[in-house]
Amino acid sequence: MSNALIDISNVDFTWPSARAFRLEVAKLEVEVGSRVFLVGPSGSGKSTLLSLICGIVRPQAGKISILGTDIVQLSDVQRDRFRAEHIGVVFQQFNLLPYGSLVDNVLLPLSFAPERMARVRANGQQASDDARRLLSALGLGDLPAGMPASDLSIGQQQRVAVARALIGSPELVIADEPTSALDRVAQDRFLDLIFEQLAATQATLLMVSHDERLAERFDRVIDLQDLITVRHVDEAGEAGERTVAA
Amino acid sequence: MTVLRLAIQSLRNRWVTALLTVLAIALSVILLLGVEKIRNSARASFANTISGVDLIVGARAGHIQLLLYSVFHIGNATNNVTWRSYQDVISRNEVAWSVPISLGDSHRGFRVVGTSKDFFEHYRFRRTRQVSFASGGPFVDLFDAVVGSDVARELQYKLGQKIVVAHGIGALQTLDHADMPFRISGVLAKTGTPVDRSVFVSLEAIEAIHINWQDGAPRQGGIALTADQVRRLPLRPKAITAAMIGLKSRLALFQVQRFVNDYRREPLTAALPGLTLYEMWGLVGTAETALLSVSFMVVVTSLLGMMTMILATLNERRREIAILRSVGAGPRTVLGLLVSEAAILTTAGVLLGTALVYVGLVIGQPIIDRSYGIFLEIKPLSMIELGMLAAIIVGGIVAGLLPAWRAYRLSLADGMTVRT
Repeated sequence: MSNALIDISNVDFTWPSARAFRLEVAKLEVEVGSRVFLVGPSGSGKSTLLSLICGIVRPQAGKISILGTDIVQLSDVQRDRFRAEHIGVVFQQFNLLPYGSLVDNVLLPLSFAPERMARVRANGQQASDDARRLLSALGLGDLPAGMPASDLSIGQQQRVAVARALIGSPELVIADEPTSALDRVAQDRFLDLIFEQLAATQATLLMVSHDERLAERFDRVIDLQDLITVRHVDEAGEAGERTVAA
Repeated sequence: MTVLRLAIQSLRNRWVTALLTVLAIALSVILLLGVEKIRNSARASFANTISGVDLIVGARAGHIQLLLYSVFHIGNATNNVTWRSYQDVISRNEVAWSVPISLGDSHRGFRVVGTSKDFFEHYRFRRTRQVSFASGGPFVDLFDAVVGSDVARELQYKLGQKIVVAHGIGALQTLDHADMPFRISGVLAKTGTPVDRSVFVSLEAIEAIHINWQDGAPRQGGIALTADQVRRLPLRPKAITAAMIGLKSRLALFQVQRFVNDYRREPLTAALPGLTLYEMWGLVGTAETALLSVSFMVVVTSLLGMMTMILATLNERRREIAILRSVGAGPRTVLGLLVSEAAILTTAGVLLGTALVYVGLVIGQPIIDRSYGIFLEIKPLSMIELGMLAAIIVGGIVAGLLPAWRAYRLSLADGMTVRT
């Protein structure tokens, strides 16, 4: 499976806190360069799955291989570094540090990822120049680069977040409902921009959404309910299988 | 480096709360450092006032009281020392020099000190410094007076000017010695001791202005004498208030002290100035400790306030923390972020507080000098004070650990989700 960017098998994860929530993933493979659409209702375990892929949490059992590295075997520090170097993340909203400028926000991952920083500087340019190039490619070129992020509209903030996820060309971009705060026209425009940029960097996109209208633009659609088994363990310790949870 | 920059940016974003926290810490530092500095300066000021005097002799009283009224002009003498007893003491072989002091009169709120010319020769302050004249010289004529530098400055006195001495020490004198004015023969240079706030005249002059007085008031029906008539009278002082005594050898100290304390004709006391000051600090030490403890509690309170502030902002900052986690910051970076925030706030508070203490000292120095006669010397931070400030910063970092630890736990529990 040399062309699999993500290769997950037999993952078993329980939150360490009192959430009494257990999640199992038998198998998930994502090919290099593909655009995968994950769909599922809330409670289907999507946030947990993304946390696992990003290496923010670690499963009790199983394998999560990204770019051929099993991140389950890495130490906490190594996983944080791995995420910084290879994964760009876009959240649903509130993506930006309100006190940072646009450029500061875009440059944020580079301070944790020396290799991405080196890639940005490979052709002798300043990192902030590349941040501005990305911002203008995403239609934010007119905004003053020093403008505080809190002054932007939500749609603009989402595009800054895309620029941040793309800077230094990480191999994987994960987007967690990035369009849900946008209206229809803005959603389509947003996807156009993100696809355009992905084509340039050859990155793989994993996007979660509950809006199935958008699914047709992706290479592959995965229903999370087919992928993930979620168990809510109640106080008595009995495990009941549920597909939709509160 | 990134962590520190982020911490500063984040604080700048919340500058109002950050500023208030810094102010609270600064105020507590002002209190703690102020108490410490004033305490030490007051001690130094007292210790600097009297140097080179081996014994203070006065009427039977506690050592502290004797020292306070004779040298520091705080409080009043219980009784006088007769001239004869004084002569008996100073005629002893061990005595090298002596300076008599006669108190009880005042001039516009300043004490009048009756003494001899020996005062200008033997009095020492700040260990070895001798009083010097800014202008003029010691008294020559019977009605000559020498004024301290503060007296001259505040009352704008010049050499040769005539002044009138009042009877008693209260703020409001109805009885004065207007019939016998003094001429200013000398103005002393600043010493930073009660000398600056004194008017010096000769013992004979004190005697002269009280001729025809009885029981603290002009004798009824007495004949008023003119200054020239008085000059011709034999003016031998009958009593003095106290005396400063220097010995030929300090080995004789306790011998002379015993002689004075056992003196038969009159109950007298001899006090060792250094030892007496030491005794006095022992007495006020309890109050100082209490004051320092309160200041310390205020520091702790301000650090707790900072901790509360950081904890309170933590919830709204979970988003910020999740963003940092998503771009690759480890939980340790989050921990570092909040600890550096606490360190920045505390350090800023300590620096601001210290600066304000020095500003306060510069402003307060002349005021305290004028009102209490305590000259606060402005010195750089001592090792102990530096240690206190370092301890506050360490305390601030420790106080920052709790919210940081909470943020660390939250960042682990939140995972990727930005909870709102």
